[in-house]
Amino acid sequence: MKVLIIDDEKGVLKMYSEYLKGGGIEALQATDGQAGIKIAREQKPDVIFLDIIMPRYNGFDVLKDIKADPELKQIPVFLLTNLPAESSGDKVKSLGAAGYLVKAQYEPKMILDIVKSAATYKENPNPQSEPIK
Amino acid sequence: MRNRTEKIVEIATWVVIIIVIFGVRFLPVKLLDNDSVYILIGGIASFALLYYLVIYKYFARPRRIYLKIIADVVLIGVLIHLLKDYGQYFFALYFLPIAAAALELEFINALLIATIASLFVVFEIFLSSQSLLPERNQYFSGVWQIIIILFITIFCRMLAIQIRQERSAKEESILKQKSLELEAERQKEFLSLTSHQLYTPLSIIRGFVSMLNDGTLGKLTSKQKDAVSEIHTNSVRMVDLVNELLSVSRIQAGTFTLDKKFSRINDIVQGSVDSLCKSKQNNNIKIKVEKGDLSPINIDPNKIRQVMLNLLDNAIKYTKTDVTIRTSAAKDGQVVEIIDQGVGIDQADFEKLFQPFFRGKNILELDNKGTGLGLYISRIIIEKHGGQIWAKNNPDGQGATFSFKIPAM
Repeated sequence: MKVLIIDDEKGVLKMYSEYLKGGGIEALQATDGQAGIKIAREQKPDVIFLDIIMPRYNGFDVLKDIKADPELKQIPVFLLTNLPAESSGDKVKSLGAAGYLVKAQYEPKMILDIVKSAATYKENPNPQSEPIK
Repeated sequence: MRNRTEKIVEIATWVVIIIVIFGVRFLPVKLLDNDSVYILIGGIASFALLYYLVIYKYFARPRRIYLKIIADVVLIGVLIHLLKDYGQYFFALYFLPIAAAALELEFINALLIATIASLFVVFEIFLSSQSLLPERNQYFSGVWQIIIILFITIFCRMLAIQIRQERSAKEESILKQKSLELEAERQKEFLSLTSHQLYTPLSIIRGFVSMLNDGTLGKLTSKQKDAVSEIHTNSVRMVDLVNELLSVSRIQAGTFTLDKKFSRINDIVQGSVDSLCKSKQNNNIKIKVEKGDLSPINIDPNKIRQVMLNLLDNAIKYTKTDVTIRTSAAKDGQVVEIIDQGVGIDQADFEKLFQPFFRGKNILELDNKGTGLGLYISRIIIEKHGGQIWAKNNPDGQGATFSFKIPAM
């Protein structure tokens, strides 16, 4: 199983990738939106985790481009950000995101659980939001 | 902008008056003697000079408007009196104030004024047809017409002013509303960015510490494990604290809103219990759930879940006893009760329980287990749903019950 994490914060990339690798999952990393789209097209990951605030090409634009691409639109995209759900939760849901996760409330272990459950999501891709504590 | 419109309207009014006068002037000579026309033109010119050089210059806007109305009324009265013998031509003057209104006001308001004025004309025609008006050649004929026209003029002018004032008040209130919305939007953005900036370092600290704590990054000595476990617990507390402080900031900034959808309270209760049971420190405490038969209800599920977690967390942290959750349907809503077996609540504390930073003790004796904001935020969330939240000691003297009720509609 392949997971792509798009985040400009290297500490975040390192942290989640390390944990996912330990859980037997291949973690691909991209530090900006353009690189993220490129890797997604080449590698076709099973799940994408996407940050919102990134320089030049923000998470909303990346999400729009993923959902507009016929080859990528089936991949569940979870927004993994530190912006509170109140500010952008509805917007990303309308753009077709699979969920909205606030990083500070999701430890790497919980992200691994979500990756595992995303296999089920692929069979039934109804947008659902992870509850925010 | 307003002064400019006012001037344009005035000029247009005068143009109409002059056109009418010249219209009358070029009628067959026998209908009108030249003297009347010169008097009229002289009168209008004097009035224009008086208005623009004296009234307009020396009087403040509200007083000017009234002086202008009086001057208009006098002028139009004089015009009609002088022209009263020349049949329907001077009828144009009837509609000068209406024309002014039409030029100045929105279409629908001008139409309203014109309709009202027309009703007066219809009324005059009706009175005339019933022979209720004095004979044309009588002295009173002119007076009668002047009275009607003055009345129409005053009425239309007053109406126009009232409508204009209402419109300007409405514009002001829209402007005020817009500036409030802008301010709220700014506050919201500020809070979003603040939480982002606070959460970013916290999320990395919490994430890596959780990995150290669960051994993902290698084995730790017993002492290291204790230290890391403390760091982890406190990083989670820090995230919760930031979360609650942001909620309070949103409440105070007035940007705390609900995202309602039809949801099942029983599912929310079960979800909260499951997520609490997952965390290690609550392993020894049993949570029993007694679910009533409840239909979906229009609520913000994430916020109600936050209330559930706050109340449950509270019950577990402070009482360290088993907890029972009971859901039931009431006559006018749905009720959730969280029943603990702790020491109960002091009578004096009931009122202060749901206030911010209340923890049953004075500030120097805080026991540092929570942020002191959970019950306050819970109260705000429930009240935003139009519901109630309360606490009472259990009748058997063992522990307390925290309950909330959400109305069905």
